[in-house]
Amino acid sequence: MEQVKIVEFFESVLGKDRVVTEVTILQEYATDITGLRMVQKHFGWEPKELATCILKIHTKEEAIKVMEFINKEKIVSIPRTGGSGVCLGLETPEHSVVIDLSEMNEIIEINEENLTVTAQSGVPLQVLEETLNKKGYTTGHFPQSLPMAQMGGLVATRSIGQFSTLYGGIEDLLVGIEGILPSGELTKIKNNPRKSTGPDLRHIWLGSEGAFGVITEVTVKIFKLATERVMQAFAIDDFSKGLSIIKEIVQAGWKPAVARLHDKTEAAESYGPFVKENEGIMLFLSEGPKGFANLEGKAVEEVALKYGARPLGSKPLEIWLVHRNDICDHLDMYAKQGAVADTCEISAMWSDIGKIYDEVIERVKAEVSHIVAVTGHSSHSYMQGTNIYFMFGAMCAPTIEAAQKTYDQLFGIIIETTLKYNGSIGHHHGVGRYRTKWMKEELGSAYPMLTKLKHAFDPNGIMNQGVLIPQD
Amino acid sequence: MTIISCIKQVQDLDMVLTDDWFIQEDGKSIDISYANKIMNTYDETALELMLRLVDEAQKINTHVITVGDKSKESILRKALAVGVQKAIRIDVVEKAEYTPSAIAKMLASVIEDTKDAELVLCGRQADNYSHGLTGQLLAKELGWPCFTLVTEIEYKQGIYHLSRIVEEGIEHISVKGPIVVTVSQSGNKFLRMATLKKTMEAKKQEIKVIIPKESLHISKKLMKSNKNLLNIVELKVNKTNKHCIYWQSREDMSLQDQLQELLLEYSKNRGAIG
Repeated sequence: MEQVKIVEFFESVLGKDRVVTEVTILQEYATDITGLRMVQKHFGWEPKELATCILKIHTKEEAIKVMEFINKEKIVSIPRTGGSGVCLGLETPEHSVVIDLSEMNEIIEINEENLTVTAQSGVPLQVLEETLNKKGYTTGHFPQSLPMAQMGGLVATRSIGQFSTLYGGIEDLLVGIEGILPSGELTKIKNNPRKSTGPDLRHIWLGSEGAFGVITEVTVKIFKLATERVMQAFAIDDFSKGLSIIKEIVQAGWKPAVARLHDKTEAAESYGPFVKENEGIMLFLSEGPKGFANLEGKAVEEVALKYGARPLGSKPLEIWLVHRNDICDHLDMYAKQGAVADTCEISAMWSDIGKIYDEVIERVKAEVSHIVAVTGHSSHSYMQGTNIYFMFGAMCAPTIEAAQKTYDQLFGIIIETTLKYNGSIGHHHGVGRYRTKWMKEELGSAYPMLTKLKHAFDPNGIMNQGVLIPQD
Repeated sequence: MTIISCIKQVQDLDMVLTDDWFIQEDGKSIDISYANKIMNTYDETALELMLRLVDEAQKINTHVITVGDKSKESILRKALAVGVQKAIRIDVVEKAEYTPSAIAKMLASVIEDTKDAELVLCGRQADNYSHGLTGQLLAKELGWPCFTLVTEIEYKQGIYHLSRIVEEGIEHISVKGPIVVTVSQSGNKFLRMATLKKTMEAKKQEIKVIIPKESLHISKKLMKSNKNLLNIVELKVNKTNKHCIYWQSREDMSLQDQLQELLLEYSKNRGAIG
């Protein structure tokens, strides 16, 4: 179908003002905030391919009509909410349309009996959190993307927040969900505390990255605001010792909302006056009902001291709470100085995570000739393992191609090393288009399950084509 | 020809938490001891301008100088890592702040001994006390002209072409050295980054340590005069008065005319234009 006719159809459903075709806006929607693009833009990168239009959806009825049409006409579609993706998952192929759900932003119900909130896909997490706080509740979900992210996107990318050890990731928070399949079928998974009625279908949407349909509404858990909080930091002379401390704490059954281990480079950079040369820093925050935080705090302290960690009081935590999302500004600053900089978060079992950290740091320093810095921290821990959030910056020749090459080299080292030790190549940023090249290796013999799911839900292959599964 | 950049270590005030901006019991200080020590941001810009001059003309020697004890060497090493050739520390034993006048005298004595020094750059002011005096006092000590609030420097055939911020806009000046320049910030003049390799190399490089000359007559009393340098009476947060105007499209007036009308109204209320 001709592009003009396509636009006309959408205008007949949504009205002219909600079908955006202005080139400057299409350019803004042509990518996300991946570090690679940030620096490439500095070197003159411009999107080669733009969507035909952006559809500002307001109701699920509109979404159904749009989905039926794009499926019938086989139009590649990019579902989008807050636009805070960092894996190129929102890039728009030519002739695609962006299904923008950010204006479906109503908080439908705060249920204080069941402790849930139901919100449309485009509700910004920050708005939801502030609304809940006024009533004495919290989402317990604080990703770095908080100021930008919206509820649909958080589910679609399997988001996690900085207080995850206590509150869990989005998969632990999601109670029920509504979405529309490419066929136009509206599907709703009802709210239940738990069930045993076949596979948990919520997990089709969790991490779907727009590849199976669009999410229109989610119900997530809410929590009473904690009455007490205990914050404590420690200096630690060895990264592996820090990992052992966290392992012992979580395996003993404690769940400090924040349990972080920053390596010596990050410690010096952000907490310089607190640490001695070569010391890393550990940050713990316990919160909950009266009495709980103190009890947990004492247990955390006991384990930390047993390993020889040096108490630093609560000030580093106070600083962290204020500055915890500064990395976004730092990445922008790096890009302006012509440095390739980004973050890459992986996970692995306790038996392997230390090896991955050591090997990545060693390899990057040895192999990337113009590296400025490579650092890592553990920030989301489980009984079986933890994540490492690598941060890197490297200089390169001021060209789009050189930036790509350096970025690929850095990411390649991190992901190759992770796969070598059977870790996962994405802890919470998702796959997008950038990490698809490693997905066969990531999923191994389970890979056909993903391709079959994709084919079953999206037989025409139109939904966010190119994410999750590499394009042939 | 040698260009010298004067740099200072300060604490990163961005790290200081809102609740910590209160006066200590001594009535003279604020506890910012937990804030990271960094190179003064205006000095970083000045240093970057110096490096850009070298990018354009290779035959320039570059020096950095700081005043302080050994703990201040990290900023000198950072400067070495980004390509400065020589780092000098004017050694003052005691941990103390110095008056801009004392610092200017110490810097001048070292610069006077650098025979082919033609250009000295300083940040316009330091992040901690914001006196904004050292560069100008240094020029006085050296007897050189001083150009303040400079944002761009070009060097062509023995002439420095400076751009500086003035009330009316940007002033362009062409001048021969030797001169002192104080540098203000402008877009995209961040200090370049050092690769890890250069950072490691810089850790091993020599830093020349100079003891202030007795002939400077910087008495101990003057050097430790920070106690008299300031006396904080009160700290308060300046509340910014912001408000937002939504313009409705009007058939009888273009947006440009609306803006002009608004600005005129604003200037009348303020009693002045600009």
